[in-house]
Amino acid sequence: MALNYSHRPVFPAHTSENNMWSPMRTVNGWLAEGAPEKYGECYSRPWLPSQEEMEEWHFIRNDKVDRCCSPESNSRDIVDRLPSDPFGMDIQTTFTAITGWLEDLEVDYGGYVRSNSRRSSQENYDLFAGWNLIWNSALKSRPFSSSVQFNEKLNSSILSSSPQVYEKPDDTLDAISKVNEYVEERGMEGSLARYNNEFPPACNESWIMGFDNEGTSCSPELQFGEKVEGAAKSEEAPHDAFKFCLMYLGVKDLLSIETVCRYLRSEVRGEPLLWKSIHIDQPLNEKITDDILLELACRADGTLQSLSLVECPKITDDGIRRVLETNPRLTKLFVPGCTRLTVEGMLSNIWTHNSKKDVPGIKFLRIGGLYGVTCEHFDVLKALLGTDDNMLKSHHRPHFYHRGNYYLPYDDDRAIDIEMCPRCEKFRLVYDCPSEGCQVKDNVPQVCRACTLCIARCAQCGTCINDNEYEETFCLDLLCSDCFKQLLKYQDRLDKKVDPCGDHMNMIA
Amino acid sequence: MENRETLPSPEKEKLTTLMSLDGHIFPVEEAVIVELRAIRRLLPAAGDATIPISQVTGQILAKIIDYCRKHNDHKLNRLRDEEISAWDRHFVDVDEELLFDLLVASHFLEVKDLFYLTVTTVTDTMKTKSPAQVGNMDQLRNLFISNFRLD
Repeated sequence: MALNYSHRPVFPAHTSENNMWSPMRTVNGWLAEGAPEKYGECYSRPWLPSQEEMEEWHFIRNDKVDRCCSPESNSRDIVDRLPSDPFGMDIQTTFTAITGWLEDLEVDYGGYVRSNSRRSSQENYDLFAGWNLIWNSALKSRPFSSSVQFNEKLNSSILSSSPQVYEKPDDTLDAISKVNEYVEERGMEGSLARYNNEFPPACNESWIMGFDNEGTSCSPELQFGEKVEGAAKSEEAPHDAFKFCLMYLGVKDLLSIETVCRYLRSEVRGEPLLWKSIHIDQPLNEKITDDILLELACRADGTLQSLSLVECPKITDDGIRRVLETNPRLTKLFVPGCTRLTVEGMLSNIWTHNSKKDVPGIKFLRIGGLYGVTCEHFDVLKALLGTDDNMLKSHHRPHFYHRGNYYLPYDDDRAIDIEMCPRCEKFRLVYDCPSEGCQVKDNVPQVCRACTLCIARCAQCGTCINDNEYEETFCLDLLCSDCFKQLLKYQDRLDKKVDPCGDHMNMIA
Repeated sequence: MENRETLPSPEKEKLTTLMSLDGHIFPVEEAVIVELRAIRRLLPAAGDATIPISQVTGQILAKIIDYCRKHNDHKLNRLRDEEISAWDRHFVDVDEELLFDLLVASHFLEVKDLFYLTVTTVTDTMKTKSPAQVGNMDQLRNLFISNFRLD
């Protein structure tokens, strides 16, 4: 490839007035105006031209080409504006460079056409089409899914005579498989295991597939059989046991099982009962985005009842809104620790959702960890959830503070998790105290009940640390003196295990 | 494989006869039938006739009856909790094909405890395996060799 061919530099280093005249051109699948405004808008392709190029162009998103991100969330999100490859370390940059060069040629070509100059346009087109053919075959030989996607878009932009309606590759599902790459062999994780035990199996209706007629062992196959892609004779299908097990797996394991074979993939994706209740915890919480969430929520075919997202920093109000729009039967919405959500956004989403006709509405909400909840917000939330102070104050299981239990457990029956802290009167998560001295006596309301800012608590056992001795760990957790002594003992035991010959060496010396 | 138990007073306890897919006969006492909830519903209609269970082979049915008897003993407090847990662990320590068959049969016969036991055993192993290994779990119909690979 003659990289040196173009008289025009591939990455123009400065904005120039020459670019003022550039018409709309398609760059990397985005419609871009050549106006030399400072780069303001965003994009989120995994590979990008250089930053200088970005600063030169003002992007207008082409909805048809990319459904990956919503404009509002992108415009607000500094993370999305950061270039993913600022130092060009990747091989993809070379391709980007060459592709950019081809685009420049296309601009020239486009300019000629638009200026109604008929001179040698046909020649240029042929030449360009030829280069494009060579370039596309080069791209195809590379296993980059992203560049293959771009390949199709480049095709559609360059041969723009006929609008190419191509089958958009399954972007979001690629994203899911990227999430999946993280899922490797590992043992059962404690938190997920706990939720697996606490969750009722997603499908109590599995028992309905029961004994009513003689052919019941065939009925699961009949039920799932239509969804099998390819030649699915029932005797070639995997054992029925896999289908039953799917009901008892969490989201992470389901996504892993999806990658085993086509049959299981169609099972996992095609069975709405598996997705009636979605719980996202470690480690998927860090990776889940609005689009992946929407894709998972849509697998329930509108029957999603419970959505639990614990500490998912990439989820935005817009993502929640889209999920609520497509799932009218949602009654439990748990989003503790999702720091990108705002109270106002949550209020407006729940208001819109609960006001719809024939909708049971959200009855259980968890927003512990969201900041800025005022009294007015809380009153509106109580009204929306259909609860009042009496119901909230009625007896519930005590909630103690310790690692792994910052938020209310799944099966707690409170309508909303936050409440007004008796000391600071702000609306936050309030914890009870397990220490014996603070227990309820003779119907006296517990004094030791407040948020963690008002009453510091031990991260291990949850007892209050007021005037007692405490230690601060390296992770800035507080430990009461008892827990700290236990920790020291444990560490001593570990040290002894590591160095069993310590005494022996001493003897020799 | 047939399973007959000698009872102290056979004429007092009514035995129901079950017949497996491959023709094995299993006379079982009522306590076991109670565990097999699917069969229990059929009892009034069946009367004295042999109940055919056409989805379950003799080997699996024998194991399930064994399980029901053991857990019935446990309920009558003849066994301690640790003993029954150890026995359960030993019970599911079999090769995967047999485990899958037990799972499906216990679902069919609605033996809830056994079903949950087998399901948790299988899902525990699934969670510790990579997708490739899960594909190899089904030995008879090796998922990776069949047409159902993801390619």
